[in-house]
This record gives sequence, C-alpha cells and structure tokens, in this order.
Amino acid sequence: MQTDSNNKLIANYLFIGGLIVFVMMLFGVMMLLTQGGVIQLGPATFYQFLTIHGTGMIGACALAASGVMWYFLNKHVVLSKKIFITNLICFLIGVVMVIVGVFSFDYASAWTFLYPLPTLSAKAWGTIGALLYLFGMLIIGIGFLLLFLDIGRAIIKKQGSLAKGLGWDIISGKKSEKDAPHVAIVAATMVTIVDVVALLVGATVLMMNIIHTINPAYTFDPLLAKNFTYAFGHVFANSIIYMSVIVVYELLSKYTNRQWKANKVFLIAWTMSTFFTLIIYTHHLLMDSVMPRWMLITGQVLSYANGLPVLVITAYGALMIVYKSGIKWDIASGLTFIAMFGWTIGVVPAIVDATIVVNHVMHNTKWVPGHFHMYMGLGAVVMLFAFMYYLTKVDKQIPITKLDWAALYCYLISMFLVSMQFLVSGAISTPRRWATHIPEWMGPALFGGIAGIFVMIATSIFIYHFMNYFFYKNSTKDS
Amino acid sequence: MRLSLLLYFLLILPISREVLESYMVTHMFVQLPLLYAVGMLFPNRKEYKTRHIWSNIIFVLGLLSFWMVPRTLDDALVNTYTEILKFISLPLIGYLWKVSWRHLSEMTLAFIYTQLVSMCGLFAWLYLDTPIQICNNYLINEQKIVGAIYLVITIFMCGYLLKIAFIGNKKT
Amino acid sequence: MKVLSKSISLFVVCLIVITIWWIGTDGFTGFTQETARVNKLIEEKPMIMPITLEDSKGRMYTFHELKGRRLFLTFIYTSCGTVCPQLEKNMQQVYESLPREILDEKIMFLTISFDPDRDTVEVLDTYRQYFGSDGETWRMARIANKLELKELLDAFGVIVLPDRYGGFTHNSAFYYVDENGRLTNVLDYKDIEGAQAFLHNELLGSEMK
Repeated sequence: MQTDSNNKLIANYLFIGGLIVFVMMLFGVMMLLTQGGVIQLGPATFYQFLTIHGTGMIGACALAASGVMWYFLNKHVVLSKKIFITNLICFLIGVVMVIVGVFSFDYASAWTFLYPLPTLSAKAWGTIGALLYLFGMLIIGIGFLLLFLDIGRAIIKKQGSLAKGLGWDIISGKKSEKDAPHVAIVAATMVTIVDVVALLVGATVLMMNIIHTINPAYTFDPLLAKNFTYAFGHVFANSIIYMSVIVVYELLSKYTNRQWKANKVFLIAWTMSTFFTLIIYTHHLLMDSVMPRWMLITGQVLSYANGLPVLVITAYGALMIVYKSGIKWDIASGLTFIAMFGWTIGVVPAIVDATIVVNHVMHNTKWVPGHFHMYMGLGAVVMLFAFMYYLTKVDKQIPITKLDWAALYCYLISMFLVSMQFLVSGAISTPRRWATHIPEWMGPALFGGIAGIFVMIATSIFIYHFMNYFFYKNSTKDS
Repeated sequence: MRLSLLLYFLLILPISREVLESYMVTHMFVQLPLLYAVGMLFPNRKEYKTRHIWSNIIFVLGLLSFWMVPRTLDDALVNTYTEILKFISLPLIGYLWKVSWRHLSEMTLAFIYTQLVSMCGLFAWLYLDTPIQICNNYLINEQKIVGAIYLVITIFMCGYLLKIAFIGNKKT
Repeated sequence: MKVLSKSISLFVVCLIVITIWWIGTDGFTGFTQETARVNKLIEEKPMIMPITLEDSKGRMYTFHELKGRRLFLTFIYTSCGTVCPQLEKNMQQVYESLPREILDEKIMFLTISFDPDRDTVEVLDTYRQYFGSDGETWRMARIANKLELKELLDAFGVIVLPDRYGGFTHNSAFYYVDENGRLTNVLDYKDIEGAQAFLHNELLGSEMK
C-alpha cells in the first residue's frame, strides 16, 4: 500500500510536469510562428510568452526530474513523504502566482529576472506583477529547498556525510570499491550539493530584487547581481539532467539484469562534475568585460570539462551494460538509450559557445537556444518520458501500442529539427529574444514552428499514455 | 537565574542603553543579542512540556524577523513603546527558543538555519552595497560596518553548514 | 480538546505577530523610517512655518513672504562630497525641464543649507553657480537661527547627523510645497523623470483645464 500511494504521488509529479511542458511547448510554437511571420502576437505578448516558456519549462522539468530522483532514491534511503508533498504544494502555489503575475499583470522580464529589469520596465508592467513573479519563484524555491534538505538529511543518515555520499572514502582508498554507495545515491548527493547552494543564492538574489522593486532607491551592484542570478539559474537548470540521469542507471540495469556498480572512475567523474557545475556559470558572463579575467578563463576551460566526466562515464557505461546483454528493447529502454545520444550531441553546441572568442559573436544569437533545446529536449526531457513509460510498465503493465512507437519517432525527428532550426538561425546571426524577425531570418523560425507542432502531437500521445496510469485497474500483484 | 537577571538589569540601565544604542553596530550586535541571551540564560526548573511548540516557534520567528526590519531599530530610539517592546520581546524570544528548539525535527532546524544563511547574506549585501542611508538615526559608514559583520556571520554559517554536510555531525 | 487548544494558541500567536508587524510597519508600507516619514508627511501635509531665510544675495525674508508661489525644496550642506552634489545636479535637470514663464511666475526652486556655520552668503553664491541656479527663480539660502533651523528640519523629518570627519549623514529628497504653503509631496530625488512628470502635471496640467 505504501509504495502504491508513493508511486501515485510520483505519477502526479510526472503528470503535472508533463502537462506544463506540453502547454509551454504551445507558447514556444506560437513564438516561433510569430517570428516566422505567420501569426501576429505583438511584442508585449511575445515577451510574456518568452517569460512563461522559460520559467515553466525549467520549473516543470525540475519538478518531474525531482519526482524521478525521489522514486529511485526512496529505494535506498528513507525519505519523508510529507516533505515530498509539501514541495508539490509549494510548486503549485508558486506556479499560480507566476502565471497571474505574467498574464494578469503583464510581467515579462524573461525567466532570468536579471536585475534591475523586474523594477525598470519602462512602465510595461507594475510593481504587483513583479512582486507576484518574484514571490512565486521564491515559494517554488522554498519547496525545492525543503526537498533537497530532506534528501541531504537522508543521505547523511545512511552514508554518514555527503562526502561519503559522493564516495570520497572510496576514492581515497579507505574503503574498497564493493562498499561504494549506490549510483542513485551518488547522483542524488551531487544534485543536493549543487542545488542547495543554488537555491540559497537564489533566495538571496530574489529577496534583493523584491527589496529593489518595493523601494527602487535601494540600488545594488548589478554585476554581483548577475553573478548570483546565474549561479542560481544555471546551476538549477543544469541539475535537471543529473536528476534525470538516474533513470539511465536504474532502468538499464533492471532491463539487462546487470548491476551498474559505482567504481572509482565513476565516483571521480561525479565529484568533478559537482565542482564544475558550481563554478562554470561564468560562461554566461563572458561578454561582461568588467568581470575579472581569471574568472572568465576558468569559466571557459571548465565549461569544456563540465558535463564531460559524467557524460563520458555514463555513455560508456550505458554501452557496456547493454553490450551482449540480450536486452529487450521497448519504448522505455529505447528512449533512455536515445536520451544518452541526445545529451551527448546537445553538449557540442554548448562547448562551441563557451569559447570566449566565439561567445562574443554567438551568445546573443539563437545558437544558444539551439544548444539548450537539444540538450533538454533530446536529453533530459526524453529521460523523463522514458521514466513515464517505465512506471506505467512496472506498475500497471499498460500495453504499448503502435501509436506510442509512432510518437517516439515523431518526437525524436521533430525535436531534432526544432533544435537544428535554432542552430541554423544562430549560424546566420539571428538574434535571440527578438519578437520580430526581418524576412531573412523568418525561414528557419517558420520551419521550427511547424516542427514544434509535431513535437506537441508526439508529447500529447506520451502524456495520454501516461494518463492511463491513473485509470488502469491492472495491479502489479498479478505479476 | 541570577546571571540572567543581572544581565537584564545591566542592559536596562540608562547609561548602558545610551552607550549601546548610540552606535548601530553595538545596538544591533551587542544589545539585541544580549537581550536574547537574557532569555536563554533564564532557567527552566522542570522539563518543559507543551503542545504549543509551533506557537512558540512562530512567535520566535515572526518577532525575530520583525527586529531585522531596519525601521524597528530607528523606532526603538525615538518611540518609547517600541523600546519597551524590545526589552520584553527579545528575552521572551530567547526563552521560548531555548525551551522549544529541541522538540523540532532535524528538517525544521535545517530549514530555519539555511533560511538564516540566505537572510544574512542578503543583509550583508544590502548594508554593504546600497548607497542609501538605511537607518535615519545612524551614520552611513556605520552601516558598512554592520554589512561587513553580516558578511562574516554568513561566511561562518556557510562554513558550519559545510562541516555538517561533509564531515558529519549527529546534529543537523 | 487538545487539537482545539493547539489551534487556538496558534491563531492567537499569529494574530499577535501580525499585529506587531502591522503597527510597526504602518500596515506593511514603511519598512524603513525614511519611507514611513515620507508617507506620514504626504498624509499630514504640514503647513510651512514663518522661518527666516537668508539667500545667496544676502536678502532676508520668511517663508510667508513667498506665499502664493509653489516651492520645490532640497536640503544640503555645501562641503558635502557625496549625496548633495548629485541631489543638486538632479534638481538642475528638473529645473531645466520647466519653461521660463512658469519659473518666473508659479514656482520657486529653493535649496536650503543646514550648515549655517560654514555656508555663508558668499559660499552659497559660489555654490549656486555650479548648478546653473540664477539666484532668483532658483535660490540658495541658509537659516541662520539654529532653533528655527531645527524646527524646520523636524517638521520635514530631515535628520542630520554629524560624522567624525566634519561632514554630515542625512536623508535626501525633493520636497514640494503648494501655493497655500502646505507640504504636499515628497519625491525620490533619484527619479528625475518622476519629479518632472509630477511638476508638469501640477503646473501645466491645471493650466490646460
């Protein structure tokens, strides 16, 4: 019974996350079609959509990914269900505030809420809109902070400390590899460390923006504010993939009946990515010439190295575990495997952009959205969909139809095209975050808008399949 | 008991009030914490048992954050009622926290602690960075000292958090 | 019973905390004494008292002799190296945004020094030239009588604290006194456009009606 109600809660996380992702896709498609010249939104509406699209995608993916992490982690450590529910409630309250702020009070400063934009909007939106948005984000952040504190507490209880959760005692040779913490624990430890830091910094910078909005006479150092904002935003967004990747470990080892063991190399890779993730946000500031030079160079060098340790170890591990295992391919395992591929190629445009010389030219073009649409759309989000199919299979044995397979191919092809469209736009120097495009830039945007419609169709099939989870009566007890 | 009352008596003397309140730093980081300490030092003979832990905690957090509003510091100087409130509420906060915190779960304590880290960081930034005078009754360079102290507090609190997380400690 | 007493005590405590916050911050509007002061001034609209000014041309007169003209006021001291020059620079921008005839007839800009010991008539006359003040439509004046000075500063809530280096720490704003001699608005001195818009509305808007 306990697992049943737990799984239902997790299904709720995934369902709410999936639904929001779907609605955000709609906003994305409408923006692309506007840029493509097919429909007229008006710049003000465009920026409202831009704001809600960014906020919603990051928030919903983080929510769903934290649900996935909780599902697997709960098998190894004792987590608090109360906190898990609290996070969901906080999230929903925050989302409502953000939506009201954006749509009823015209708030539109993009999800990065870069200081002093929430306050200075040239009268495009008022104090109330900004406060609703900022407080909404704060409440969402508080929910996540509670969740990660609980996860951290549980890991410390089981392993002794977060250092041991990352397996430092094994790296240093004090313990043998066979006593290594479970891979899910290692990943969760990493995510806990980076996200608690990100959320604490985020709370500070959000409160600062709130003070500035209430009384604009209190001014702050904008460069420090930008650093804090990205130390929060980049790290939090980045952590989504590290939460989702647990699916790869758990699902592939279950399907192949082979253990995915944490060895020394694996632990070192995760430790490296922990540190890199925390310090590489500076690649968002490569164009700020006033930043200390050493920070920017560190940002460039470490950005190259950021995802790589975990990516390489996971991709290699995935190939090894599947090799000659006689694995039975279904949608869940297929999506998992493809997500690895999407993650890998999604990193490439980021590495190009993290080069300072290139960054000066590319960072404000659609090249960057190209990178994160590929990375998230073909990597992290695919892992979440894979988990949806996994959960419906292990819990309820819901049959998979031809339609689901068609959706899989449709999703992969059209999502790939959406990402490519952004990259092509970037290559022809189309600026990002622009509501209107000159005719030369319209082609790719229009193309992307149409491809986006197919992404939405495929996603709606995924979600439809997952919705059966709540209605399907076939219980696991039979198996 | 005696120590607590003696401290309270010393703090309430006009001369010590005058001296401590004439500087922002001593007002904020000497007088207020000492008043809080008065409550912490006040003994409770029997084991404290109550169902109202959460009422206590809400009172403590609600009023503690109230005393973090810059306005209250100014008001305590010019408004007698605020000054009286200060001398009553802070010892009470100290006492209530002392008897209540052990009943809280590790999670709640961790949450309160991390929120405090964020708040102190925010105040460090606010007091150090803003060009505006925050308290009308105090000089702007005193404000910077206060900000610097907040920064030091933040750093130490982060250090302690790291120690718990990485070296391990039974208490969270 | 237990649950009931628990929720009652929770309710009461919440009520106490909110009440203290409510009173202490004027219903969550004034989180610093400065905003509280400004809100209170705008609400109470105090009359300006007949205090004697001495301007940069050495003329002596009281506020009552200026009645009938609106006043746009700031408080400074000329040895100030931080806020005051910026305050006056911003005032200059507001000043220059108004048409000549309005400045001649309807409104007077007035900078008042709260440091009469050092800011003599000659010092003020030099200082005014840095900001393009003509000494007529924009005057700089001091209040020689310290008791009167204190009275005015208290009425406007200007707090001046001497620091250890021979300067002062003080709060700054634009003050607006209407034609009846009432202080009706206090404006953020950094928001130049806001102040301009306010004056344009107040002086030109009524003309158009």
